[in-house]
Amino acid sequence: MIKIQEVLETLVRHQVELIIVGGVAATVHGSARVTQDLDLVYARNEANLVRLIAALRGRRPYPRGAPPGLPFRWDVDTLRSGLNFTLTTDLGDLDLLGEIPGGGAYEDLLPHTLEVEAYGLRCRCLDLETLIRVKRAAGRPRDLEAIAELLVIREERDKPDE
Amino acid sequence: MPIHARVLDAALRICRGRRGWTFRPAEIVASLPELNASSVRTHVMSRCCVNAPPHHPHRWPYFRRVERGVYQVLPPLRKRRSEASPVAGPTAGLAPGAARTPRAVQEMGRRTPVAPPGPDHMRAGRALLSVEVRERGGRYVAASAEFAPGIEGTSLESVVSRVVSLARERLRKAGGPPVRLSAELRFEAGPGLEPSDPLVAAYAKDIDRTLIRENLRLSVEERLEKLQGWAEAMDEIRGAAWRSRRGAGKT
Repeated sequence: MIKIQEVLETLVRHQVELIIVGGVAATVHGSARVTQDLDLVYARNEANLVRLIAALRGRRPYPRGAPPGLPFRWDVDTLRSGLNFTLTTDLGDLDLLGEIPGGGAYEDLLPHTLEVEAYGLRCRCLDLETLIRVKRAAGRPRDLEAIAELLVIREERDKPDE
Repeated sequence: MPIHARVLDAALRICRGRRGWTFRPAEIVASLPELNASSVRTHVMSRCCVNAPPHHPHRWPYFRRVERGVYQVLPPLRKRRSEASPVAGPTAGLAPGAARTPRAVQEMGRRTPVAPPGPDHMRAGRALLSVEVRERGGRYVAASAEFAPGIEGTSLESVVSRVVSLARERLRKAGGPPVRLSAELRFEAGPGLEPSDPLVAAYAKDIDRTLIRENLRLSVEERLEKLQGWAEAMDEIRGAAWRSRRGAGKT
């Protein structure tokens, strides 16, 4: 189970450049669906990789679903060599994504984000239109219901106040 | 169009307008109001600048910093045709009922010609114009960085037609040999109208809107705390079920 506040506090305190996507982003916009992990798109510039490593060092990041005891090193070389990482941590399940289908990398998504404030922190979250677009682009049958809910959220949100 | 291409395109348009190849980042930011200003500056000053510090693993060799606050388009790119030269064909392709759509985004582009090689003056290329059309009080307003002020009309078709005419006129004035043009309209509907997806529509019918409305009354933090609460509750229930199965197994 992800500890959303603690994860965000840790990452924001280390000034990690990130964008909230996925189920938690849907929650930010008003979704009633429950998600059990936190999906984040992270900037892959060298400085941000260093900050990300520092932020989660000590939180025991490890590939989710992998057998225990593998020689997994949480360092910049590992991040540089890969792109998307599905991790377990002491703070819960965390997906660190270098890019997402239909959306691209951090720099591509940044113009399509909004700043949200929670727990005294400011962080960036994918906007609703782009969230719908990337969900469609993912093309997974399981996302159809999520897409439907996001469309309903958009309708309800854009209704004039009664 | 990726942001780096749009930044280059904006720089080329600005520089050609003043017949010089230097510009300031603020000019690019101002010409791309729909993009995040910080991202635009990052691209001008770092990701697309050949003599910037190497903060990014991948860069595009578009500009050079010549002095504080002044950047220059590199010579190999100066003959490149601006991507934002817009032309579009007829308005065929608009979805039925498009005029009733509260909000639409239309993209008019020019495809690379696929006809057999023609006369020498035919030229392949690609240009794109993004135009956002909104309905306001029964009138339609088209807004684009290319046309200021916006274009208004009483119907979606008339606004699109005027945008097309203006785009053709701009292209004609820009000079150069004639090109074969085709149009591609991509229609993105606003609330209440979505490109048909029967499965999504079927799911949408069963969405409990009372839950959505309840969530929309909450702040972002309250929504996240509600999610956290549910996640913890589910965790507890799952644990209880597991303990229950273990206990049943023992008896």
